[in-house]
Amino acid sequence: MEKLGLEQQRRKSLFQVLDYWLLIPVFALCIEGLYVLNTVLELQYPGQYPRNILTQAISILLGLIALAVLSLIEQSFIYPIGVFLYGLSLLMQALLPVFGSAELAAKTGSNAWLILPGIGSFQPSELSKIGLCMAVAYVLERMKLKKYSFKKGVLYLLLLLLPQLGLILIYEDDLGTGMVVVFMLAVMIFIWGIKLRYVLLILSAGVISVPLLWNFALKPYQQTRILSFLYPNYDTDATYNVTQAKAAIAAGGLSGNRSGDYVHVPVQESDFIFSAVGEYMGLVGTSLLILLAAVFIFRAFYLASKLQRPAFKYMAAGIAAVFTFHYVENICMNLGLMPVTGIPLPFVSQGGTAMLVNFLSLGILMNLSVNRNLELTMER
Amino acid sequence: MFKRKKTDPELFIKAPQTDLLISPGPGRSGRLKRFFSSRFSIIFICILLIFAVMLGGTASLQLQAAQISQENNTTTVSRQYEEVADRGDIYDSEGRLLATTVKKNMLYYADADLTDDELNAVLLKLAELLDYYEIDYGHAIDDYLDLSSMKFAMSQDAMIYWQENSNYLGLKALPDGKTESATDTLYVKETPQVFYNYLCQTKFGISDQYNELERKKILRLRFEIYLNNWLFQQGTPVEIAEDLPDSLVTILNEQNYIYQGVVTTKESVRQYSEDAQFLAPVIGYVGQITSDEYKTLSSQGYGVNDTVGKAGIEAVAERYLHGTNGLSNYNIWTSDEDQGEFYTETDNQAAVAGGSVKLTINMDIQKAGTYKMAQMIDYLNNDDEFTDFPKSTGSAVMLDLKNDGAVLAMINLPTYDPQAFIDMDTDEEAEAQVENYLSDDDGLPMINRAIQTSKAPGSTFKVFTALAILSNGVADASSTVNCTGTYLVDGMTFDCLGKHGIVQLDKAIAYSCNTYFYTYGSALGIDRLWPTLKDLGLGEKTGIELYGETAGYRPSRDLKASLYKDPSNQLWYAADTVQTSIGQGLNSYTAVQLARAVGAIATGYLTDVHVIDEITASDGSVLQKADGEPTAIDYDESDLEPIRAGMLRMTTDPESTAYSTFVDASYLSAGKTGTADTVLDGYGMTNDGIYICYAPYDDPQVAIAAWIETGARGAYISELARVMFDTYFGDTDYSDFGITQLPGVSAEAYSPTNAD
Repeated sequence: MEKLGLEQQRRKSLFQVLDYWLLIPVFALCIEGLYVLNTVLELQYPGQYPRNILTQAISILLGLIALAVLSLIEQSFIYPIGVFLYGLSLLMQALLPVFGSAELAAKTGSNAWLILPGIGSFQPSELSKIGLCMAVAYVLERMKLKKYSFKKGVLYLLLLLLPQLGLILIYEDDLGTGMVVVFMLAVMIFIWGIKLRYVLLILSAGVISVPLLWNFALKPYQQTRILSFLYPNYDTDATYNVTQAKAAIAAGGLSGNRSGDYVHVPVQESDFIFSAVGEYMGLVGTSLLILLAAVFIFRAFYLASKLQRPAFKYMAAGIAAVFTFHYVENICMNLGLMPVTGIPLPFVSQGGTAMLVNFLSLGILMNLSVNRNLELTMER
Repeated sequence: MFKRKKTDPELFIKAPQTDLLISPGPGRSGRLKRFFSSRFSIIFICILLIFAVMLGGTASLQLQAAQISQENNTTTVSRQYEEVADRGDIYDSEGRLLATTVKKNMLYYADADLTDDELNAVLLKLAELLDYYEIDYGHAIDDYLDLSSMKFAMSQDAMIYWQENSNYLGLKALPDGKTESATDTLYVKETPQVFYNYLCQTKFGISDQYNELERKKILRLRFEIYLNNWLFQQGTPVEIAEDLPDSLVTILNEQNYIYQGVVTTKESVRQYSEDAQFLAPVIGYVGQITSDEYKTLSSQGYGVNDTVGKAGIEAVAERYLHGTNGLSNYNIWTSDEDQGEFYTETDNQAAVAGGSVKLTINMDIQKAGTYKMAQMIDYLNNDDEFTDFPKSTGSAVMLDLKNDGAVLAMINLPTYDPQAFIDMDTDEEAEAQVENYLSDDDGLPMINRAIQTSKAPGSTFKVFTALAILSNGVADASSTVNCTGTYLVDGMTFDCLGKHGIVQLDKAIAYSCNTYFYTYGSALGIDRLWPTLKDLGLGEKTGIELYGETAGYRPSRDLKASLYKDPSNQLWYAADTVQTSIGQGLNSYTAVQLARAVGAIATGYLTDVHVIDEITASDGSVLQKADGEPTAIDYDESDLEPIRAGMLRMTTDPESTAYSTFVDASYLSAGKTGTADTVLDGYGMTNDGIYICYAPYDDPQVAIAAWIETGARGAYISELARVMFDTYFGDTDYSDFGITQLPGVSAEAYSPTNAD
């Protein structure tokens, strides 16, 4: 009886159980992003305009389809989807050394690109964030329920994490994505309930390992980025991008500057699109963007706090953490408040892979939310 | 749609006991307590704080915007370059593009105050990027040193002379007993390897950490800059490469903090369409401004690197086509803190593109006629009788009589390819072509023969003599002459081409009877002949816009007197009049004059002649529009009509020479053939074919004058007129007559210099 009821409910009142606190901010961000991207491409990349803006719009449409499918499916599919996404991202990353695009690697300085026939360039590490999040959530749940012993759980976690993180940090040389994954894990484990003394232990271990990491793990340009963040006059080349981004944001003033004299900011269409929002929409645009992002992230964590099943709770918190890291790091690096890493602004920056993966993540969140709402209506 | 799968019962937990949230307590304080005891509360508070900081950060930046932009305005701009305006387009009457301007990405390198090490590192990165995109750079060294075989590119002596005497190295001769060394900065380097090491180590400080391949790449760019060192240090960027793809320019600009000193700009380059070679002597070509031109044009805002029109329309319409140059600031990223500023683009002065010129030329007629003339010339060149003669040349003009003498076609052969003047810097074949165009060989493809070459009109002139005879009442249309084949005057015998018997005017024109014109021409006299020629614009400049038009000359007592020193030769004899009245003697007219004169016979109106229809500024406003009116000539219709009838008989009487050409034409045309005997210096006697005509007979719309030199007869030239008329009256369908390359265009000399 309950099964039939749920199915009927799902068909009847989809629009009643949708989580508009998640949907509306995302739609608004997409629209604001398209508007600003259109301006940037039109003014600065006449050769690529309007082709690239169409690509972006198509990515959003595809993302919406993925979102709809994920919101509609049964919750029991979440587990196989998690396994699939984890496996797919691991497979694709493992293929990078063989099939990775040398041309894009030469252009972007990162080995993280695959060329997929019929689809175009694709960064598998984007996918691995969500794959890892879902896989880790299930392991943490079993540890919580004492299905796994602590040691066994940690072993499984390491087995899941190390290949992907290793490829991201060592082969693909993508510090930004690595940091996102670490932050996501930290939040998930924090919610899982790690004892505070362990938190302190990890923190102190981190502090001790900084010099080691600095000397042995970080590449010279990564060191330069961090140094020039800490000491803006250390290397003017490295701060150039941030200096220009800040100048662009400042040029926007209260309501934006559309006089046609723009400040040159490299990659303003992707990682530095926040500076373009500032430049062309002013404080009105930037505060709108920050508020929308805040509402979206709050809602995602709120959802996580309300979910009953541990795996879903961790999953939602992990996804929310990924979005949080992206928004905070990206906006702060545009403002010169954090060091520069290659992290785009979700739902706003140009980039098809990122847009699709963001909608995939949103789809998982939406599924969790819709099913929770359904259960609530059932209980009533 | 979605089937419910059996859930793992172990994992399906409805309300876990272990949830972190403690069970809800009653009331507001309970909810607060519950919130703060949850770990999510910590997360919420952190997010709230961080987002507040972000909001504050952007607000503080943007609310002080006014202050910052004021600072930007007070930054002085120290470096600017001249942005060359796009040259205007040239179209034919149907709007088909003949000459346009394309943009090319250029790569320059500017002084960014780098040390040798820094500069070498930047240049290596740049070289590798250029290699990746397969773009040529740094070939200056190749003129001195062959880097692959490590040999001097010039002779040892020349190389040593260069090292000692050029302004670059200023080395001294190696004293006896001293061995050359790569590290000393005083003495000449005699062996290539030492010279190479000297450049790398001592001159450019290229570090040993680079491998051989990398050192050579750096050396190429350093040497290129070194040869322009003086300008470079004055702040003028040195050209490194051209024709970069847009994607490369984007990379260079985005990563300009890596490629310090790199400046990219767009340069305008003239580009001629493939059809331009059919009209090259009219369109002309462009080239780098000369110092003389710069002296006169610099006051009009021309720069030292400007391109100016050198001939034809390009030169005539220069002031419309050129446009106004702009000023751009260029920004380089330098490690020098004082200069490490990026300038906003507010101080830029945009260049204004030049206006576009629409010609009256219809390229369909122009091409059809050119192909036909090329075929005829090809035939004549292979004629056994004239094998040792220079290759034939030719010209033809078609005027629109309804549109005040708008030039519909102006054909000249041999011709040239104006694009060769653009490509000659980079293309060896184009360079050879240009060399040949400008040589003094008989071909002379650069000449616009239609206005610059005047020729004896031959029998076509009889049409004009006839007008003088009739208008002066010497004879009327029914007056007759008995042609016996010869005519005697002052004891000299003048021949006719045949024995025509009793001849009236129309027959005299149609059969080209000399006797008729000898007879009445003598009666008319030279003093009553030349005013008619003047009225028809013969021996006068037509006033066409193009430069270099010649007036030719028409016969008169004064002309003869001025030509000869010997007083007895200065006298005008009766025999002179006889010769003159059939078009020989002191008659010399251009094709454009003949076309205009035959147009006047056809309509009774003398047109202006113009080749520019309209000039439009880049903002769309019309700067100049041809709007002249033809002027009536002071001759009665009753005098003109018999002449027209004679010209019609030329094409319709089965016994006249042009009959077969026009027998199946869909329109009636009137014409006159001419074959002028000429003596070519050093070759001997030959003849030129000439044909003048108009059509349709009852409502004349177009007039043609055409000639081909060496071995041609007038009746043969009528075939050219037929093709041009057919194209004008019919569809735009025309044939290429099997011609694949136009005479004169190739890199080989058009005419043999008669070496044996």
